[in-house]
Amino acid sequence: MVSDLPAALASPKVPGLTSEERRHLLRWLEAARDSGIDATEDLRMRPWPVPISASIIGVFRAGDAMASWLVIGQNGLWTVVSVSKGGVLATLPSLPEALAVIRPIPAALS
Amino acid sequence: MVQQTPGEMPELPVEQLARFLLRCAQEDPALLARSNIGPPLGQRATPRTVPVAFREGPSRLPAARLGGDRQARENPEMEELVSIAVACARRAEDALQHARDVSNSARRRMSMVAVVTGCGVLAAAAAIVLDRHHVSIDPAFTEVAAAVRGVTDLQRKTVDQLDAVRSDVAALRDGDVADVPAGASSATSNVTRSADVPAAAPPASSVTPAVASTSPTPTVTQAAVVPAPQPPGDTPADTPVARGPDPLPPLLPPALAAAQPAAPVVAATDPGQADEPNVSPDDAATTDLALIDPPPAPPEDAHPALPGPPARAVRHVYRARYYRPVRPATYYRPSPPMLLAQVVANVRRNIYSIFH
Repeated sequence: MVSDLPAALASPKVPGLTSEERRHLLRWLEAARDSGIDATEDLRMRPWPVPISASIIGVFRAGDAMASWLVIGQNGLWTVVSVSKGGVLATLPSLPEALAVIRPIPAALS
Repeated sequence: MVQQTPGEMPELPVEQLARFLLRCAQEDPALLARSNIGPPLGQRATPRTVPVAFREGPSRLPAARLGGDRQARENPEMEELVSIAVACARRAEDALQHARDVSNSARRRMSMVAVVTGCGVLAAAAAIVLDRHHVSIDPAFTEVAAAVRGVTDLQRKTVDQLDAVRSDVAALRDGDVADVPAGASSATSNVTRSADVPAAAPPASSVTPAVASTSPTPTVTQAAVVPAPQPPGDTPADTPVARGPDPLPPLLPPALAAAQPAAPVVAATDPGQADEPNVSPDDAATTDLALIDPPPAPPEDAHPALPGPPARAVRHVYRARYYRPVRPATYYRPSPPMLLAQVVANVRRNIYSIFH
């Protein structure tokens, strides 16, 4: 049972993406479709053991029922987690850079 | 560019959160499952955009998933607006249905209340009308009212009879009192009072003068002596009295009245003293007797020579009988509290009959 989450992690900050981050996510998804990534979902509203105020983006590969990567953003930092590997890949100060860890996109699209 | 790894620097809160979420996902894989199963392998997956929760600013709406529409992908707020509009429409429809149900229920209740109120008003009106006509829909109450009414009528009749008897007794007592002095001074009283004979009493007016003039020492019949109405204490011993058979059937039956001897009319000792100071004999004959009913006719089998009743006697007796003070009618009328209680009982009975 996981219940030892620090209280600071559940800080009541307003989650969500800015318009620029949303547009970049759409462009990245279009660009990453060729690499087998077909969808991204907001997993923040899932029944986590504790209330989550951070942004949680699940990246799905085509044909997989579960997310392959998690992109977690909080306090201006974005962390990329590989579910299959079971560890943190990187922590970056912006969403485009965090998405680039999963699938780099051409500079022309960004 | 800041890129940290768990081994290089101490973990940031976001990394702690990432590891925490990863452990949770390993314990419950459903936390990372797709919202819907995608197309089978080999087919092109429908591109999905970022859910609504990643928009800028707070959002209370559930994540809206956009389809493969290109325009929708370019404008995700449109589908959100559409979903909001659809949800609002459904809520409005539900609210309208609920309002209709409540309205129908309220209308039925109001109709029921109106019906009950109308029945109550009708029952109250009927009870009032029946009470005013002394008719009650309650048999027991009707019986009680009839019994009370009968007792009242019986009491009234008893009072009437007592008055009649009392007047007769008073007449007889006055006759006895007037008889003694009249007999003592009969030698000097020989006045015929023809003026007292009313025109309305033909037998008395035709017989009395002849008899009075031929009897120097008259004898007085007790039953026939009726004093004239005098103020109490003002009647002298030689007050003129009238004598004669009582023409009233209740006092004497026709057989006894016919068997009475011809009693002469004895007048007062002092011819100059008026019988009634305020009323002259003529006025009395023309006013008092005109107001009362005419005396009953004498029996046909009576002797024609018998004198009729004197005017004063007739007047007095008839005053005693027919000039009684009018008593107020003692009709039975239910008191207001009793009437109200009856109305309430009727209303309750009607309401009870409606609901049961």
